[in-house]
Amino acid sequence: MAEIYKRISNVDADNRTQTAISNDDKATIQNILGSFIQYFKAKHLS
Amino acid sequence: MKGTLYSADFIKTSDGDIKLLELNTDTAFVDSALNNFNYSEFIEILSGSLITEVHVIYKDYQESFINHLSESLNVSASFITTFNKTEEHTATIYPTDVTDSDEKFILRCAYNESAIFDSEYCKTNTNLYQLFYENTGSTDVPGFYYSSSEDDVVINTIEDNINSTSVPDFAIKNNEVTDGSNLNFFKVGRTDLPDSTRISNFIVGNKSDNTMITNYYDTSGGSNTMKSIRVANILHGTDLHNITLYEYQVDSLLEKPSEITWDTASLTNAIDKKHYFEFATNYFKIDWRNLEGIYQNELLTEASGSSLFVKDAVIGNNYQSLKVAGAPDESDTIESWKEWFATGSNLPEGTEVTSSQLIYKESSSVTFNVLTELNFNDNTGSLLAGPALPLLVYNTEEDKISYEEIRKLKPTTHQLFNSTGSLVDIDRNDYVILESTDEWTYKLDFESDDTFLINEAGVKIVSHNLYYCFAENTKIMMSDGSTKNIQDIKVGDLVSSYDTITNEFIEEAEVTEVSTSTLGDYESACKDLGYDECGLFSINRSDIKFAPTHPFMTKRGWAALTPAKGQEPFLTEQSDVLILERGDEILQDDGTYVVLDEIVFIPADKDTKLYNFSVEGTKTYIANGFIVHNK
Repeated sequence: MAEIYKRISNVDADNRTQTAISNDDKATIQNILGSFIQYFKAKHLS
Repeated sequence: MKGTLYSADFIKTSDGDIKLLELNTDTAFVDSALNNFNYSEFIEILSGSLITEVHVIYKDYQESFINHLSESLNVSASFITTFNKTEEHTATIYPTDVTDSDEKFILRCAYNESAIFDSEYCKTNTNLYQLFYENTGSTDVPGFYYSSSEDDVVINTIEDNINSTSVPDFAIKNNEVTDGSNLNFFKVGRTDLPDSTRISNFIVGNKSDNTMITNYYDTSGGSNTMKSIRVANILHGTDLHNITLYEYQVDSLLEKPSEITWDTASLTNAIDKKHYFEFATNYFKIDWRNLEGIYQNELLTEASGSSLFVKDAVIGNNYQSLKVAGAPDESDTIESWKEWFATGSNLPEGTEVTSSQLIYKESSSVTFNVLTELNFNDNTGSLLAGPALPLLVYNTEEDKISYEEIRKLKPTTHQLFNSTGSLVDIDRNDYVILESTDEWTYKLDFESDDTFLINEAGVKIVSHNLYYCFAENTKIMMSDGSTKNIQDIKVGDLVSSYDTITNEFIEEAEVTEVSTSTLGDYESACKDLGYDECGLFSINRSDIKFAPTHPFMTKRGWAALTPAKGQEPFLTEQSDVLILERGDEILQDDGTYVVLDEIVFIPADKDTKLYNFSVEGTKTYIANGFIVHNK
C-alpha cells in the first residue's frame, strides 16, 4: 500500500483552529481590500 | 443585482505587517468557519434593494456554504421568498449565465473565466501584485519578482530575507498551470555566500516569463503551525461594493516539520511536495481528476473471485459487482444514483453479487499528494481513494441505505457493506498525505451494474461516467495515412490528429487509453433530441455512426448534437457549449470544411457496443475523415 507521510481526520481538518483577529488588523485588511477595489475600478471600469 | 463570492487570504509577518496573499473565487468553507459567518450587512443590502429572490451558482464542494446561507436567510431575511440554486461541474470555468432582474440577487460562487476579476486577479497573483505595485502599494503584497520579455517588464520587490533552516525562503508559482499544483516552496542554498548574493543568484537562476517568485514569510510566530488570515467577501453591484462575511486567522492543517531536506551547497532546493500543507494554509486541495479515483494498489475482485490491483484491471474483462435491487440501472446518471435510497439496514431483497464488464479506466497522478483513507473496524484494512468516490452505506441516523461520497462519511453515522451484505463499521475517515509524488489513482466504469467490489473485504462502490463513442467499423486515420477500424485501436497506436491551438494536422499522436460503452448510456441524450428509442446518428450520407454527445470540429468550434456540458471540450477547452446543427461547416482530414446538410437517426439496440480512445496532447483524432474530439 501507499506510504503515508501524515494523516489528519476529516473532522479535525474541518475544525482547524480559528482565531479572531484584532480590530486594528481588521482595519488594515479592509484598507488593503479597499485599495484593490479602487485600483481595479480605475484600471477596468473608468 | 449580481455579486461574486470570493475569499482573500492575508498573512501577518513576524514584523506585524499584513500582506494580501491571494484572491480566490471557487472558494469553499468548512462548517466550523461557517459558524462564524455574519450575513447582517448582506441582508441589509438585500432588504434595501427590495430583493426577494437569491439565486446561487455554485459547485458541489460549496454546498455547505450554500446551505448555511439559505438557512440564515430563512431565519433572518423572511422577505427572501425564493432561493434558487444552479450547480456547476467541479471543473467548469464558464458557469451558467442566470438572467438578472430587479428583485433578484445572483450570487456567483463558481469561478468564471469570462470575468476579469476572476481571470485576471484570482487565477494567478501576477496581475494582482502588479496592480498594487503600479499604484505604489507594493508593501501590501509579498515581495515578488516578475519579468516578461513580451511586455518588456521587470519588477523586483523581493526582500533580502532568509528563513530558519526548516522554513522555505521562497515560493515560485508557474502561471501556465492554474490548478494549484504550480506552487512550490524553495530553500536557498550556497550558504557560503552572503545572503544578498544567494538571493540575487536564486532569482537569476529561477526567473522565467511564466513564473513569479515571492518571498515566503514565517507566519508561525513560534507556534507549531503557519497561519494566515482568511476573509470571505461578496463583491457586488456596479460600484463594486465589498461585503465581508468572515475574517479569522486560521492555522495550517498540518504542523510544520521539525526539519526539511535540502542541500546547503546547492543554490536551488525544491521542498518536497509532502510538506505543502505544512507551509501553505489552504484547506486540502485535491485535483478534480482524483476526486473519484481509487488508489492504484487497492484490490478489485475478478469475476472468478480472485483479486488484482486496480492498476492492473483490464478493459473488457469482468469483475464482481453488486446488483442492488431497486437501484437505478438504466437512467444511469450520477443524479439518479445520488437520489436513490432504500429504507432500513438490510440490502433490498433480490440484491445479489453479479459480474460487470470494465468499460473505462482512466489514470491520474495524485497531484497534491492528498487522498482520503477509510479505516474499517473489522480488520479488513483500509480504502484509499478520492474524497468524492461514492460508496454504498447505511446511515444509522436516518435508517437508510444510499450512496455517499467518502468525504461525507462519519464513523459515528455511516456503516459500509461487505460482500455478504453485512455492515462494516468505519473506524476513521482521514485525509492522508502520501510520502511520494509518484502515485496514481484510477477512475473505473462498469456496465451493466455500475458497481464493483473494492478492497478484499468487498466494500461496494459505485462509479459512473458518460463517454463519447463511435460504432464499430468507424475508420480511424493512422499516422501512416492508412485507416483502422476503431474496435481494433490499441494503446500505443499512432494515429493522425489535429492541433486546435495551432490549427495544424499532427501526423503522429499516441493512443493512451481505449474504452467502450453501450448505446444504452445515451438513451436520455437521444430522448433530448426527440427520439423515444436508442439510436446512433450519421451525417451527410457518410458511413460514420456516432453517439449524439460526440463533438465534431466545426468552423464555430467544437459542437455536438447533445453537447455534454461538464465534460471536455466544453469544460475547460472551450467556453461555448455548441449544438451541432444543419448548416454547420465540419472540418475534414484534408483541411477543408463540408457543410452539414443531413443528420440521420439510426435506431439501434441499447446493447450496441461503442468505442472511443484518448489521444495524447491534442485530444483529437480523425474518424471517417472528420476531425473529432477524443472525449
